[in-house]
Amino acid sequence: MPREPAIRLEQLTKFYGRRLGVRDISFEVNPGEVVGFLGPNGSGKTTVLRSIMGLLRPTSGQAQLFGVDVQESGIHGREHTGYLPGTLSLYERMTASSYLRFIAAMRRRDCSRRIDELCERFAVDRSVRISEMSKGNKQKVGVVQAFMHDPDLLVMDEPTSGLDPLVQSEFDDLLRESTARGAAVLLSSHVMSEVERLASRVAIVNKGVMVAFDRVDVMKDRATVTIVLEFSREVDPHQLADVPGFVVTRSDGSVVTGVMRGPEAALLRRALDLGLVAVRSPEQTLDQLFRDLVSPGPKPPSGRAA
Amino acid sequence: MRGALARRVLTERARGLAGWSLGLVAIVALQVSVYPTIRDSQKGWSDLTEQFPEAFREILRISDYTTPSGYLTTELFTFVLPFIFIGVGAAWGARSAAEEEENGTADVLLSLPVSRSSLLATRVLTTWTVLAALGVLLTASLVVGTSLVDMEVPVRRIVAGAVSLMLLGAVFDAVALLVGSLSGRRGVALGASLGISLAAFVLYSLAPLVTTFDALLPSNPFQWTLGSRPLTDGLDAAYLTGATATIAVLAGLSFAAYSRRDVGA
Repeated sequence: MPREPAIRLEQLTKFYGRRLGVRDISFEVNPGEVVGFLGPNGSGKTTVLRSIMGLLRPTSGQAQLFGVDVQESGIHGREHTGYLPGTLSLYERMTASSYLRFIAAMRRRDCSRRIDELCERFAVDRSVRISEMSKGNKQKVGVVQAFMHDPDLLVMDEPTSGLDPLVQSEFDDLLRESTARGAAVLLSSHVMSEVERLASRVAIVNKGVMVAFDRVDVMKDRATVTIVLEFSREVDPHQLADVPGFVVTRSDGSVVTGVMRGPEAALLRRALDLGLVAVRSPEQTLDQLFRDLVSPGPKPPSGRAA
Repeated sequence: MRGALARRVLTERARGLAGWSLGLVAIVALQVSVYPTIRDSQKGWSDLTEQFPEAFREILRISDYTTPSGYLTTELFTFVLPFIFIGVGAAWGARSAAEEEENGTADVLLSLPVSRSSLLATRVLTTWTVLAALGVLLTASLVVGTSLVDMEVPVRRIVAGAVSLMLLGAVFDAVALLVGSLSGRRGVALGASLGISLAAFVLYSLAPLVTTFDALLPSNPFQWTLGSRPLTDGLDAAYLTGATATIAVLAGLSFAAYSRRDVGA
């Protein structure tokens, strides 16, 4: 890609005193793509996002916005960035309207047209005092604040928390429009379906360490899927054992259960030869991979996981 | 950018500020309006204050209670007005660095394309403006008040008194600013600044009686500002330098600390 990444993390490490925040986080977000950032609560997602925004100083390594280390000069990068924090606090005594005007003035931008548009789109009543707004409505003001200057980069920490499904889909559209015009997006979430829906690549952290960074479709291929095969007659599970990626977990006469990693075609061909009558499998989602990667216990060997 | 930030801060605290201002004018009006009674019974008051134990007179800096300047010094410039200016300075200083972090609003604010030192500078300048405005208000109410009751205090001495108080407020603003920049906690910053100011006040008040405290006077903010007896003798260049240099050093350290802070970690 000719253009430099909007975000580049180089072995970003943050300790809070002696407590590990995150260690050696490296990935980049390019213009026009949405990178999903997944991890259980407390895994270090927010630490990474706040380091990108210059709120935290990395212990070592660095975060770059548009090629510049944010600790050296974050101003240029932040000029072109919209940020929605995970725990959003607004000035409670202001109205939404004066809040948005204040943020625009701090950016030295006239965003009034875009504010009108976005507020209409998300049905934000701007005359209401923020202290009187519901959590969802405050979140909408936060979204407007992050998008109103048409930034080249959006850093969003669990943006859809508190939004109802209708507003969420409006948010999805807005995000897609932004990437269509070339904006880069880093979206943290613990909602798999959200990341799967929006992101083209995904980074997964657990306990402060990156456990995977890859394209969503590749990730899905790596996910183990439980497959239940029903045969017309009793089969010897060993006949399935040499199918690449398939591990038999249970065999019960004519029903064989196993976990599959990667494409299932070879498995199905073999099973058909053995008299397959039915195959059942839960929907293949990132969810399973996520569980595989972050759950304790034996972890299946994985290709690129760091 | 500066204008928008200052306007927001001032709007949020307009009510509190109006309260302090009203209080200040009311206290000045009250004390000044009592003066004619004191003046008319000058002999009695002189006798009375002379009967006070020497220690008491020294603590309250009572030397010339019945003269206009002496009266104002004892009644207003010893405790009440200094602590109004200190209170405002410490409260605003504590908020400058710590308020937004504690409220969580710093996350969005610091994600904007504005440097932290620029944000802090705006807040510091806003506080100084507020202290200056209180100084102007005090000067105005004293000038008007003293002329109404025929108290003869030169305007330049009144200005000297107001400037002293503004500097005193600015010193404890800077203390709160530094503690707030280091701790990110408003309460800690306010408490530290007020605590130090009270300790300094006690040392200053008891200095005439305790040799050790007297030896510490050159490093006491009260001495830098009120020690020159601004209402009678005007300002003292050396003392003013002590105050402004202290403000500059504390503010400089605050900027360094605030720029490097992990916000809300």
